This record gives sequence, structure tokens and C-alpha cells, in this order.
Amino acid sequence: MTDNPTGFPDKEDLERVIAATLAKGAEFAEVYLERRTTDTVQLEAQIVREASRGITAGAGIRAISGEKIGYAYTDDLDPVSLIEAARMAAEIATGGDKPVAVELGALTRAEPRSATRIFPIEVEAADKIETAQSADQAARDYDSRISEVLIGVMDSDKSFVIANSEGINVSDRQILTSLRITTVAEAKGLRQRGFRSLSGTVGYEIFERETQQDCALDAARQAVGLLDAQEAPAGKMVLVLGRGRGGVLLHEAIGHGFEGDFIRKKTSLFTGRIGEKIATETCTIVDDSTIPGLRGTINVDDEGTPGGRTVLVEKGILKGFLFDRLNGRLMNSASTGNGRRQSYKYMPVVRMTNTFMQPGDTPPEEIIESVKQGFYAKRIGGGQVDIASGNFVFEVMEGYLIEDGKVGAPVRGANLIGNGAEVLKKIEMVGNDFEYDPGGGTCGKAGQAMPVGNGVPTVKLSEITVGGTRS
Amino acid sequence: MDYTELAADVTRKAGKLGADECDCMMEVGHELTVKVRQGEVESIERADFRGLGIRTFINKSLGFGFTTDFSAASIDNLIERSLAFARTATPDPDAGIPEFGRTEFPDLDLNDPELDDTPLSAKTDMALACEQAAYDHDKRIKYTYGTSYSDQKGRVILARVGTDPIVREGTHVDLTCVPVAEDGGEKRMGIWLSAERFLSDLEPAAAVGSIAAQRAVSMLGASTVPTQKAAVVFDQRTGSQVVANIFDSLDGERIIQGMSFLKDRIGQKVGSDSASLVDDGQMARRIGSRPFDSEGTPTRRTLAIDKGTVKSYFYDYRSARKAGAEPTGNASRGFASIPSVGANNFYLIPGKTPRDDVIGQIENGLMVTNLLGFGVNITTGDFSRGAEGLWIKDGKISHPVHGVTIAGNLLDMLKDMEAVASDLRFFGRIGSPTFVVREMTIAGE
Repeated sequence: MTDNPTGFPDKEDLERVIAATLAKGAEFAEVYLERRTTDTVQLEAQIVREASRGITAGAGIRAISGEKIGYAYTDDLDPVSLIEAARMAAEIATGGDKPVAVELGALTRAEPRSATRIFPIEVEAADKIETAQSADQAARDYDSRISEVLIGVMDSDKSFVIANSEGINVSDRQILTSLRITTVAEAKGLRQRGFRSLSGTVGYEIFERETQQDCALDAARQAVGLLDAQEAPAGKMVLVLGRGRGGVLLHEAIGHGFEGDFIRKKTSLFTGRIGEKIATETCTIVDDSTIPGLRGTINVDDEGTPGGRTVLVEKGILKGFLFDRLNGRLMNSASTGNGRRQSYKYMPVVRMTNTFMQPGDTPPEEIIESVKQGFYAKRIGGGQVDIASGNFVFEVMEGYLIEDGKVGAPVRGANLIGNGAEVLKKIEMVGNDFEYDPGGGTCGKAGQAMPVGNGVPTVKLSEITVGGTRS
Repeated sequence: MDYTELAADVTRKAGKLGADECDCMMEVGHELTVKVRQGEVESIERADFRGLGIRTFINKSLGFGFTTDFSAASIDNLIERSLAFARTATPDPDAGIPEFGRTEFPDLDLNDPELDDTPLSAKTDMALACEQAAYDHDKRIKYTYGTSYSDQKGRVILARVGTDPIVREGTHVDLTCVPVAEDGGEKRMGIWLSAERFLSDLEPAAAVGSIAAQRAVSMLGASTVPTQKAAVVFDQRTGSQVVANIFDSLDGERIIQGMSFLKDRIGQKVGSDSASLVDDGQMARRIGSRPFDSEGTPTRRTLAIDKGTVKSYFYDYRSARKAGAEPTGNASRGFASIPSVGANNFYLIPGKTPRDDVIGQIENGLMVTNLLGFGVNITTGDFSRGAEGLWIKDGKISHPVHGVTIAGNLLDMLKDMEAVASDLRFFGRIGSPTFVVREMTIAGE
């Protein structure tokens, strides 16, 4: 790898682009150049539904004037198109024409957090298809009631350069490899779904972490298990949230409230509450993009700030927020390295990276034993949150009743309904069994899909509303 | 650059390198998004975009590639890799690239000639007027979570070997407002939007802002209700979300996979007489209209459910061949993906009763104005979503409700669809009037 990945304009070109972006009076200008190769294999009914290569390349140019942002992107990386895009972005400012001199530092490479061994781009087309097929076979072999299996094997190899009017000139390369498995089990006219994913910022060595077959078995077990599930009860009950995958709830229902754009615009209910006790003492929450190989890990963020670790809540006390450059500057804070964007087509937005609840000291068995009657949400699926009120709803992919301190019958069709701020005050016990969610998630804030990591230990909440079909 | 010629060139090159069948889909255009906040422009985003996708088949095995980089080197890399995938993938006897249905298509009036000539300042003013209308509607609206104007003008070129490429053009405009009503410590969000092909068809900016504000304010003071079974009224927006779920249930690919509760239901009466749903790709000036779908098949009007009876599923070329049916003009894709089944303009056919009369007939029930969460399982039909809305007592709005889940099964919801109002409205490709489901489980406390 050269420091200037092939096809990107050189330092002098970028200096001219930044100068053109500043020409109308903007006080900050930035150019983001990106080239990405993605391969995708989708298997459906044992047929390769899609095997594809995608190459995207382009540039996003941003001008900031006060709180206003001008943004333009182009799919063409030649200097003429970049200057044209720069002029469009520059128009957000109205300070008239003035020549500006810009001098960038030498291009530096971000220090990699995750060492990639088997670069996806070097894996043969046939091997990627074989990876999907072996997962499919494992799921089908698990049980004859598995009637359908969908497999996705996806990888992405992204190189980018960020240069700005403050002199930053940094390049990086990020690799992401993922597996997604959906299973359907069918018996007596009833169909149930299972899902499992595996993802990380590494290459094909990710399947040494966990094989595709083991992931497939997990998804198959889930779907078959739900065939015997009863309909979910409805009403308020004690909740035990399963470790690992339960982190989705932490990210969606609570984490977004710590994002600096919502703080600046005062739309988060945590606005102005640093130092206040917002959660029970067992609760410590961090966002950390530095852990090697996780789905939300980054070397630098998409504004060129190195990724970091931010303590959001420590023993129940609100400690910090996440910032990008713009929101940090307007709030007199430094960027925490959380300015991220889906691609050059999008402005960077404050985003979480890997978000965790730190482990407590209670063994998980003790948590289950403490519940007389309740609900065990072992695996959470998708969810939605109203940022203004903090109200959320999550689908439970795998859930069980808890009766007399024991995990009982599986249930299907349950939803968890609650409020992020209230949940923090209802955390009664935190397990010592912390686990990363092996699949991580994809966050959809501001219409931009972004890979994120998460994780929690087993957590007990004194009360949550379970929405089910059995009244 | 002559894009039409480039698209045709790509298919010829792939053919020479060994593809049995090949097509190229290209999208080019430009777009604008203006966001405003507290009476000021917050951001202006503009772009010229382009991209192409190449499908190649060797012995009925598909390889696919897409790029935004139109350099010869990048396109050669794509064709080569696409063919490598095609050589190693599994054959699917039903896959392939259909002949274009026609070479001449009717003009559906999808391209607003005034859009590009309208100055940026006029578009910015619309967004500002929309936000201001939300503030003017009620003092308790102090900010919006987002107010934006956006538009796009695009061209789609479809090329295959042996035929001239076909081209369609269209514009798209939308105005969205999401105000927050605040009272004491309580915050409520409202959403309203207007999306059209023509600038002049948009709902007035002030109306979008004040309806959004009204929806937020009406939720202030919301409380939960006891768990019970009661009638549920879906308004135009939440109704269109349910209608979208029904489209997914009629998606021919899902039917083949066994992943829809409407599998094996053709000719069966599954819904009430009020449940008639249609997809129509030929409506003039509508967002979901297009002369031909993403494989070049002419679009049409397909009555999928007629007075409760399932008449048709929706197909692209491949799913139609698997089902032994005809493609319905529902192949849908962007340049970066292979075709799948998608809606043109899919809607619940409105009834004759005015909306207020439909609500007036409800003795006890919930009118849902906001749905949360993803608790819809198309495979089983299980429906369980978080809901907010207004409680209706003796035909009148009584109080706002939040923190509940409404649960049932889509099949029962079709069966129990009682009254369908006359107020059809589209949200993008999906449209719905206000309608009533006789009984669902409302889980509160």
C-alpha cells in the first residue's frame, strides 16, 4: 500500500479544492476522497442469488460557516469535478470572493487498530461462494424442519483521504467482513425465523473467530426452537436482558441520547445534565472505537480525528457526550472521534462506534434465580426510538418466560416497550458475564447506514412493558 | 459523455468476453437537499450522481458488478469479476434477462420541466415557510427535529445486447417537517410530509408545517390505557405502513420462498369486502409511476386483492418464471443492486365514507397516528408494533395515548377491515385512506 491510494488527486490539487471551498468566506473546508470495493454473495434456496463486485469512488466536500453547512459530492475524482463541487459547497457562505492560500501537511497514514491477515480482495470468487454454501449446508443438516436458509457473505475494502483547512491530511484503509444468516423452520403450517450474524473490521480470518457453520447452527436452533414457542404475554413484568446481543437496546434506546448533535440542539433528554445521577450505581456505559476487530472499530473517524474511548456514564453518573468537529466546536468540546459517514455521498454525523455496558459482579445464574416471574429477552432484534421522548419498542427474536427463578417456556412475537431514561433507573442487577455482540449492528441515523459494535452483560430491569399477542 | 452509448458499449463488451446474456442499468442525475432550523438554513447538500450496474449470465449463472467510476479500467475490472462470479455461481434455470416489452412507451408526465429553473432561494423559502408554520400553529412548538426540502432529477438507461437502449426520466420533490411540542418536561414529535413528481403538486409549505405541528401537539398529555381488545383506526400515514406490509406479503419472491402468510391463497377470500388493494405503475404524475420497470417490462395496473379475494401476486422476471406466471412490471432496483420485487403505486382502494364519519362510528378504540418498532413478521403474519395515537370514545377524540403495543395478525386485520374512508393519500409509492380494523389487542398496563 502506498500512502496515497491509487487514483486520488495529489496534495496540490487538494489545496486548490480547499481554497475554492473557502473562497466565499466559509471558515472551515474539508475534502473527503473515497474508493471502496465491496463483494457480496447472497445464497437463497441453495442458489447463488447474487454474487457481486461493487466499486464506488467519489468525493464529498464540506464548507462550514457558523452553524451552516454546505455540502456537495461528486462521483468523479478528477480535479475539475472536485473544483466544481467545491464551488457548490462554498455558496453556503456569503462573504464575497476572496483568494485564500491553503497549505496541507504531508499525507500521513492512520495507525491501524486491527491487523488484517486475509484481505477480502485477495479471496477468490469461488471461495466466497463456498463460504456461503457451507453455512447453508450446516443449517439444513441441523434439523429436517429447516425449510429455508438465506446466507449473505459481504466484505468491504475502503481507502480514503481526508484533508481540511486546518492542515489535516490523513489517509486510511478499513476492512469489514460480515456474515448474515436467516433460517426458516416449518412444522404443522407454522413458520418461524432465526437470525445470526458475525461481523468485524478484519478480513476472512473472521471465520477463525467463529466458523460460518457454527453461526448457521445457532440460527437454525433459534428457528426450530420457536416452533414450540407459545404466544407472548402482554403487560408489565421483570425483564432479564441477555448478554451480548442485548447491547442493541443500549445503543438504540439510550446511546443516541449521548450524541453531541442532539445535545447541542437540546433534543436529547440528557442535555445539560453532566454530573447528574441518571442511572443506578451498577451502570457504567462507554463508547470505544479502539478495540481491535469489532464491527464499530475505526482508526480515524471520517473527519480525520483518531478514534477514542469516551466514558458516558460512570456508576450511574452522566460523564460525557460524543462529538464530531462541528458540534464539539459549538459546544466548546473537542471531537471525541465520533464524526462518521456512510460514504462520500453524506456529511459526517455524530455516531456511536462500539457501545458497551461494563460488567458488574453478579453471576448470571443469580440474576435469573432472583426473578419469581418475568421475561428473559435472550436476543433482541430491530427496534425504534423516538428521540424526543426516549420511548422505544424492540422486537424480541428469542425470548423465554422466567418462572420461580428458572428459564421456562420459549415465547414468540414479543415486543419490549419502554423509555430509555426510565430503563437506566430500573437496572437492578448487572452480570459479570460481559460479551460483545458477535454480529454487531447497523445504525440508521440520519438516513446513513453505519456499522456499529455493542455489548452488554446479563442485565436485570425491575420492570418493562412486554407487548405480546396473548392478552 | 454519451451515457446511452456507454451503457450499450458495456453490454457489447461483456458479450464479447463470454456472457450469454447481459444488461446494463445506468442512473445519472442531480439532487438537492435543504435543511432549515430555527428560521435559518442549516445545510445545503448538492450532488451530481451517476452509477451503472452490469448483470452477466453464463449458463444461467449470474454475476453482477456496479460502479460509480466510469473509467475504462474500472469497467473492465467489473466485467471481469462479474464473469468470474458467473462462472462459479450456481445456475438458476429461471433467471435471465427478458426482452424489453416494447420500444415505445406512453408519456406518464413524470418530469417537472420547471424544477431546474426554480431558484435555490425559492426552495429554501419553502422549507423556511414550512418550519415557521409549525411555530405559528402553537406556542408549544419550540423547535423541529428536522424540516427539509429535497428534489432530484434523474435519468435511467437500460441496455441489453441486440436492442436499442430504453430511457426514462423523472423528477421528485419532497417537503418534510418533524416538529417537537414541549410542555413542562414532556416532549412529543409530529411528522408530516408531501412528496410529488411536480413542485406545483406539493401540498402548500404552510399546510405541511401546521399539520405536523398539530400531530405533535395533539399527543401532549398522552397516557397509557389498560390492556384490552378494541377497534383500531389507522390514519393515512400509519395505514400506508400497514399497506406496505401487505405489499411485502404479496411479493412473488417471498411467496416462492414460503416467507409470506399469503402463500397458496390465490382465489381465496382472506379479507373483508372492504379490502381491495391495487398496484398501478401507469398513474400520471405519481411518484411510483414509470413506463417500464427495472428489467424493461412495461408497467401495468394489477388488482392484487379484490373485495377480500387474493387475485395476484407481484413478480419480476425471475420470480414469475418460478411461479409459472407473467411478470407484473414490478422489477425494482437501483444501479447497485440486482432486481427484486417492488411497488409501483400500491394502495388500498378508498371507500365512499368521509373520514370523520368513519371515526364517528367508533364506540371505543384507538386511532393510531404513529407506529414504532419492527414487529411485523411477514412469514407468519404476526403483527405487534408500538403505537401512539388518540383514543376514540363514542365517535369523538377523547385523549392522547402512548406506551401501548397493538398486536394481531395481518390475516385477521384483512378479515376485520371494516370501514375504509374516502381520503386516500400517498406517502411515496404507498397509499392508504383512513381505515378501521374491528378488533386488535391493545397492550398497555
